[in-house]
Amino acid sequence: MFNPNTKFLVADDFSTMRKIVKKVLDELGYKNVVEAVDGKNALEVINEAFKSGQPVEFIISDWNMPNMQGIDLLKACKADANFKSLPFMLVTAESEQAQILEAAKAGVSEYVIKPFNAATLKAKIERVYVKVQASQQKKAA
Amino acid sequence: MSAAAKLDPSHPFLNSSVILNISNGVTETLQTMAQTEANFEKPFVAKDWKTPTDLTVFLDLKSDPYQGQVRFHFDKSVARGILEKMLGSTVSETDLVEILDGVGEISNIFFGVAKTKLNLIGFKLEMSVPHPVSSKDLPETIGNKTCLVIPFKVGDTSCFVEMILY
Repeated sequence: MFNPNTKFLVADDFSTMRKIVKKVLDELGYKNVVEAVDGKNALEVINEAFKSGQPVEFIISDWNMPNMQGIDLLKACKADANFKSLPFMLVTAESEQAQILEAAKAGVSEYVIKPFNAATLKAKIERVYVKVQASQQKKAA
Repeated sequence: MSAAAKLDPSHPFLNSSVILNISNGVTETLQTMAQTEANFEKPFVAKDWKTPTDLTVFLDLKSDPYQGQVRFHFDKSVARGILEKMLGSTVSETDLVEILDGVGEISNIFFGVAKTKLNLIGFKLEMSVPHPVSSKDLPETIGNKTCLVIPFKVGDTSCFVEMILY
């Protein structure tokens, strides 16, 4: 799995979902978690963390949020050289084919469909880890 | 039910698929996220119906050219119980902000599940963000004041799904 000090950002307009995701991360041993209440706030947090020298290393974001939606946050990260390689997981009740395709096209690392249980979220985080490892090995080769 | 309580049966929001998928969305979400069983009862049509519950989450619906609203009604004790199971920790009964946040999120998932399945079979449903409120603070409905109510029980306590057509 990722280094236990990996810095996660959890973005969701509902504090309940942020708490649920944080609890799963805590169970996996990840304590370094920051939060954002929407996509716009998430971008601010990501930029501030980068400037402070303690960058966000993994983003878990809801799709449907006010101000800036999760898909637009994903696109903004992918358009920024500093953040384009950040693992990005979308967690959403929206699971229509067109949306999944849009997220895949935008470069999402994993897509978690609500309702989910803790085991599903843990498995998806593990899958992102495998993908990140594979990508790093490919770059190194 | 009064004699005047009638709804247009051809309205797409009254299609049996809509009712079935909303019921399934509630059941699946509560089972997966809160290990809680929901038992649905027979729907009824009512005029000027007022929920007897404490809390309500409403979402505006659109499927061009039709519009409406879906409302999920809960007692505070049920909402708190669901939230505690979702979080795996206790929630103070006086923390209305946290309880409303929890029912807002779970109602968003209820309808998100239904919407995905309905759009797969040709409905072009759009929904707003959920608005969780105390039931006594619900805004007045516009339209003919007649609604479809789908009751369900969590434990021994009644909760309701209400479909309002504009």
